[in-house]
Amino acid sequence: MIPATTAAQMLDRFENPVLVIDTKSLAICHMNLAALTLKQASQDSGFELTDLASWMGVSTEEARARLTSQRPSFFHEVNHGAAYFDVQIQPLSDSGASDQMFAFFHEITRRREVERKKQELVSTVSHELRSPMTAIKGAMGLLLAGSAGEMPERARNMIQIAQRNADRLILIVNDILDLDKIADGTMAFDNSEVRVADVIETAVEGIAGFRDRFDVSVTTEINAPDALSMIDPNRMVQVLVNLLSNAIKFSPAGGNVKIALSRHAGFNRISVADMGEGIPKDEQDLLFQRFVQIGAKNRAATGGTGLGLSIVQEILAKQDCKISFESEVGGGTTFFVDIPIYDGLKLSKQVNGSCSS
Amino acid sequence: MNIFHVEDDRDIREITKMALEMAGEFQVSQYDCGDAALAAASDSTPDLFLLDVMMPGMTGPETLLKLREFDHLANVPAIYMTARVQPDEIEAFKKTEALGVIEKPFDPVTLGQQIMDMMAT
Repeated sequence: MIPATTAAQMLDRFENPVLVIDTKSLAICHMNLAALTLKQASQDSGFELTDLASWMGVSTEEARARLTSQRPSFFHEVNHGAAYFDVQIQPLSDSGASDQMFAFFHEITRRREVERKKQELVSTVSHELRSPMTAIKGAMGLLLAGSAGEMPERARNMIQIAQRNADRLILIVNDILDLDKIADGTMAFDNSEVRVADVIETAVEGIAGFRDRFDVSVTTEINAPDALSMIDPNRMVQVLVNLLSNAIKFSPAGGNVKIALSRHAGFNRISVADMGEGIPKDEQDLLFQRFVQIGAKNRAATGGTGLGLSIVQEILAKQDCKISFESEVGGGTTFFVDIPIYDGLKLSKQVNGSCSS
Repeated sequence: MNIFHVEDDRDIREITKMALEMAGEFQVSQYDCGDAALAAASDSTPDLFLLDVMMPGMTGPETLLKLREFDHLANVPAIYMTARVQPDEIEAFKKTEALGVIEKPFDPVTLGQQIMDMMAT
C-alpha cells in the first residue's frame, strides 16, 4: 500500500487534472496540482457536489446521476470554461465497493476544434457538389429524354454511362451528408410505436426494382408478426434497404435473399441472409469501415459507395439497436439487426430518452 | 401555366427551363436574383413561384416574403428548389407557407409532374 502523501505527490506529477471523489457524498476529497490550477483559473472554489457539477458542466442532479450510474467506468465530455475535457470516472478499486473514485481529465479542446473544422469542410463540399451535379444530371436526363432530338445508339450508350456515374456520385454525396448529419447530431429521428413486420414489408417493396435488375428473389419470413419497437420507421427502412441491396448485389443471379423477423434474446431480431460468396475471415474486421467494399472486384458493377454499412451502423447505434453478422466463405452472409422490444409504457421512457437526438 | 423561376446558377436555370418547356404546359420567366424577380413582378401575376434557396443577396424565402408584399401576389403558391434541406431552412419554409421543396438534383423528366403534384395538394 502506498502512503497517502506519496499517492498525492504522484497525482501532482500528472499533467492532467485528477479529482478524487467521495463515493457517498460525491464531494471532492482531493485535487491534484493540475486540477487546482485549472480550478483557480476558472475562479470558483469549493469541494461540494455542486462544484463537481460545475466542473462537469451539468446540473447537480445530472452529476449525481452520472456519478452513481451502475457502470464502473465511463467517459463523458465536460466544458470547463473554454476548454473541453474527456472525463473518465473510475472507482478506486475494482470491487465496486470503494469509498472513493477517480475523475481523470483529458483535454480535447484542440481535437474538437479540428473535428469541427473537418466536418464543416465535408458538409460545405458535399453541398457545393450538388449544384453542378444538378446541372450535369439534368443535361443528360434531357438528352436521353430526346429534348435534342434522336441520338445515335452509341452516343446514347455513352450518355447512359455518364448518367449512371453521375447517379453514383450523387449517392456518395448523399451518403457523406448522412454521415455528416449523424456526426453533428442533426439527423432527425422521429420515433413511434412501429410494427417491425410493416417496416420489413416497406423495405422489401422499396427494393423490388433493384431485385429484378439483379435477378435475385427476396423471401420474407415473419415469425413475430406482432413485434413492436419504438423506432423511426423511415430510418429503419433505410437500414433494411441498405442491407437488402447489399445482399442482392452479392448474390448470384437466380439466387435468393431471405429477410426474417423473430424474437431473439429479448430483442426483435431481423435477419438478412444471402447466398453470396461469404466474407473471408481476414476481411470481416473491415466490414464497417468507410469506403471499404468487401469482395467488390468491380465497384461500378455493384454501384456501392462503401459508406452504406457505416451509415447503417451509426443509425442503429442512435436507435439503441445492435448489428452483427455471420459469414462463411462459400456459405453466404447473414446480418442480424437486434431492435429493443417495445411493450407499452414500461420501456417507453428509456427508449425515448436515448433516441431523441 | 406561368412560372416565375428565381435561380442564380445559369446552367440550372437553362436545365429547368428546358425541362419544364418539354413538359409542355409551362411558360417560364427566369430571374437570376431576388431583386430582378421583384422588379418584374410588380406588373405581372404568375401562377407559381419556383425559388432557389441559397442565393447571393436575398435568399429564396426572403425573396418570397418581399414578393408577397404585393397585393396581387399575396396568394401565389411557391415551391423551393434546394440542395441543402437543413432544420433551420425547414422553419423558414414553413414561415413563408410554401407548397413544398424539390430537392436538387431533380429529375428533369419528371420535374413538371412533381410541380403539378405539389400544386394539386
